[in-house]
Amino acid sequence: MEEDAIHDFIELTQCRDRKKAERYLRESHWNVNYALNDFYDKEVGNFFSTYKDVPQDNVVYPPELIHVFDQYSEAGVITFEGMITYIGDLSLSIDDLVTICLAQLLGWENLLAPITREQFLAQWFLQGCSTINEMKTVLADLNGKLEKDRGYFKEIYMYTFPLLVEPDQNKLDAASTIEYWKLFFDQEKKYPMIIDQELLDPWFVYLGEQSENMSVTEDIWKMVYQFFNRFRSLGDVKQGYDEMAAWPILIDEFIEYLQDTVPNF
Amino acid sequence: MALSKRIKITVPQVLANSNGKFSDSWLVLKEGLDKIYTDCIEDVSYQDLYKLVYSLVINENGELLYKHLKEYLVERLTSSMVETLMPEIPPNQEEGLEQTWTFLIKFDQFFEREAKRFKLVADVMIYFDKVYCNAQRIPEVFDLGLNAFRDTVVFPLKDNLNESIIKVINNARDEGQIKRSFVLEAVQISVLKSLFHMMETISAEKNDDPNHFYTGIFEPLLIERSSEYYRNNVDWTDYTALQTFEKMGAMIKFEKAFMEGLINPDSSHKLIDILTNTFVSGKLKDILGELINEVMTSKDRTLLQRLSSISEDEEYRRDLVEGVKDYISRDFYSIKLDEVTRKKAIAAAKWVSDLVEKFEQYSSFLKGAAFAESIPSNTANEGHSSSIASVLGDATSNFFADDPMQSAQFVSLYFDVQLKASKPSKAELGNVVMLLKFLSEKDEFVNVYKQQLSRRLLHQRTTIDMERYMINRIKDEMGSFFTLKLESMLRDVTTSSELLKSLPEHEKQFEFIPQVLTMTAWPFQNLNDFDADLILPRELQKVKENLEVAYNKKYNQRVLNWAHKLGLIEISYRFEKSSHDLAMSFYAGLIFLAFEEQDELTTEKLQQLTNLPEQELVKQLVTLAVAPRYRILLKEPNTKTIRMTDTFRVNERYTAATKSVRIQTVISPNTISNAVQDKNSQLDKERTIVTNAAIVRILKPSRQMIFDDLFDQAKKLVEQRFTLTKQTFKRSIDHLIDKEYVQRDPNDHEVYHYIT
Repeated sequence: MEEDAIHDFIELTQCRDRKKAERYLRESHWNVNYALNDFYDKEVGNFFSTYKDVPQDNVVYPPELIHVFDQYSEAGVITFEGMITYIGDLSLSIDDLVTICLAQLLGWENLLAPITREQFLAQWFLQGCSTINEMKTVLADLNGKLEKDRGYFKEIYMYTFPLLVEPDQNKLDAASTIEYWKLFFDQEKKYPMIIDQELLDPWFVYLGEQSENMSVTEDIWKMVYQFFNRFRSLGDVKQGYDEMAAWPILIDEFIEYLQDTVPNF
Repeated sequence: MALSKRIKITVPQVLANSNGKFSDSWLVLKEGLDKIYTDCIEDVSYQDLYKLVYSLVINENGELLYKHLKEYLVERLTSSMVETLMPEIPPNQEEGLEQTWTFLIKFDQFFEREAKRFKLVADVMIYFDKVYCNAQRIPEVFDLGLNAFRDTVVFPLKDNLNESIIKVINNARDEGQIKRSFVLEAVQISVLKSLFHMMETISAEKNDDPNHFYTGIFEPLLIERSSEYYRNNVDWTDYTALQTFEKMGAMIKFEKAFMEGLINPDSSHKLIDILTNTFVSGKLKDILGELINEVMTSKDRTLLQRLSSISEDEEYRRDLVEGVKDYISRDFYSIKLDEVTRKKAIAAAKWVSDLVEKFEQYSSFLKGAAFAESIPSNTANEGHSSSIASVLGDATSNFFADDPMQSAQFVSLYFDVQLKASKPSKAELGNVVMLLKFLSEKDEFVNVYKQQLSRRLLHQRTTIDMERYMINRIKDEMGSFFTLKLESMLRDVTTSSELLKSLPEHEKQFEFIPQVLTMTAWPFQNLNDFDADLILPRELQKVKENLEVAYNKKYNQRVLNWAHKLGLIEISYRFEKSSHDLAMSFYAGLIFLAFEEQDELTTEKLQQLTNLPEQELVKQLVTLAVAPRYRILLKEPNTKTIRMTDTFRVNERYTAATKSVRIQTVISPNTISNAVQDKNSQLDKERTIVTNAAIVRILKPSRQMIFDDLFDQAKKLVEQRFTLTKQTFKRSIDHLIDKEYVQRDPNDHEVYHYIT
């Protein structure tokens, strides 16, 4: 009786862990239906948030999904070039912030790291997507989330730095950092962190005047977020900025720049 | 008023009226007491009265007797007071002084008389005291009398008595201020003392009050009214600050002598304190600034001593010490820096020697006055100790802090000028070394000093002995950290001269002084790469090779590079009019020596002969042929620019005022500002390195720390070298984060973690 229940449970859930199956069943007094409900509530879409948690064996991926993978992969992985094509086919550009949402979704940790078959298939499988069009829908949802959900916006911002930085490096060059700052803060103004243009414009002018060799550490990347999160306008800065606090020099010097250039600051 | 209580108590042989009524016995006793009160003492039969009291006590009439006696004494006192004392009470305090005195004298006499009677009564009642009062723990008869006196006389007349005394005291003060001497007669003093004595005899309120009237009632009033008097009745108008202070001194002195002769030491002490504090927190506070100016300008030691010993009030002492510091700092500011002269070094040295002169003056003045030594470390809670050194030191530090970099540079320049002088004075140098610890940017001082030391050593403008003396003094004052490299530089010079001795004797056409320098110790940033490829005249080449051989023999593990940039060549040349010793840079020397074999050379040819790069060659040719100061060479065509085709020859008609001529390579203004910038960024770099190390040292054991704490601790750790700015600190933090020694806390960006 119990053996049958375990067998059914494993069959239905593809859960490879016999002990886990037993646990769910015992807690549901060996009622397979309750155990399944419990399992799906707790594990799927929660525990399995990254592809690594998806059961590897016995998963039957839809052929359409495998087809999408094969289309962009080369020797079992999707390289950067493959990704560019794939991103293009999703009607996105590498410069869209949604692309970063996609990277985060797939667990793409660095642009130059290849995406494995398992990573790609399992992640989309979890999202219930098999075709490019279905994927587009998911990405459109993420884009909406990015525009509304402050927490998600921050998550994506923080994900960006490690994604962009080259392996063996810990800094980004000024030009691409500035581009991304513009994406996050400046353009379109559709994201949840809206910064007064009077503060933002001098920021980019100031960055432009910095030497071209300027490079940005992850600390600065994070602190810039903190800075704009706290100071949304010139007035905010004037009132609340304390150069004696733990801001990095780059931001201190930006405030000096404001004092030198903005009248009545 | 002490009574002899050792009278032997005897049991009377015959007991009169042993069973009689109390009222009868009391009447007899009262008759006896009446005799005492009517001054017919000789009629009193002590024997009888004693017996009577004895039998009353024996028959247990003690309580009744006590009651009757008390009533009797009060009654007697009242009538006697009404009779003798009441008429003398001054109707109000505006009454004349004479009447007040009369009252006081009468009061005193009254008390003396009544007290005497109490004693006589007590003598009669001695058995009563011993057997009844002591057993019942109630006041003996004499004390009963005093208490009755207190309640009947002193309390009702309390205000009259107190005010009268204060009135005569204040009057004596008034008079004392005018006559500056004591104005009370001996009799008056003894009346007052006698009254105070009375006050000390009777208790303040109830019978068992531990305070007597004096401390419990009179003294607080006296203190209150006296401080009122000091505050309001002294007229300071028309007094200068100094006169005011003198007057305060005189008043304190007067009051001290006056009170010590009048009241008990404890009480007079209190009064003097009150008086001093009234001055110190009042008028003296207003004039302290003026007084400090006065005392510092006149350098009046005694006055300063008096200023510092007048009060031990903490606030006053702090004000005084700070005022003195402030005065000294201000006086330092009055030192003029000659900014017009072209000899900046001389001006700076003068500035420093003026400063040290003032410093010494103040030091000996403050020491002579033992200033601040007597002042307990009252400001210790603020981390200061008020020794003379720190008063003067703080003043100097404050002064230096006004332009910390310039101060550090000037002090070093002073040493440079002195050490280059023909006979530097060790004592004077030593005095200036004393100032080093007050510099906030010590690293800047050491950097400049190192530059100047290197120039002095390389150009032989100093003696090794003096330099060693200086380095040792600097080490004593600032610690060996600062002098390690300086010492190493000196060592290089010494080893170089030993190396010279080991060179083979050869035909010496010239003197050769090699200086083998340890790269890391000397302040050279970039040497010229082309030095290795220069073509030297044959003789020079030979000594160079000899030295290399000798050196490699001695230290075969070391690499020897030639730094001709630092070298100097001195050439004696006979011009048409005069002969001169020309000292010039090594490169200029190579160019000049090329004319030994040829009269005329083109720029191009000179380049071939020396292998100097064009830029350096042009710079040297500008120095030798274009700059108006020297003109050792003549250039054809005579223009300001150098072309490769220009020709040069020695200017035989050159002449100069002195035999030896020092030819300084022309420096373009550009290079100067670059050099300054280099130096500054060099200093910044060193500071960042020191700060990095400090941060790591602090953060490593504590693992994590909040921004402000970390800054404070780092600042403390490096303060012996320089003043840490937030900017340097942040630059350092940014660097450490970048190098992954330090990480910001992901949740609190003010917190830093040490990464292992």
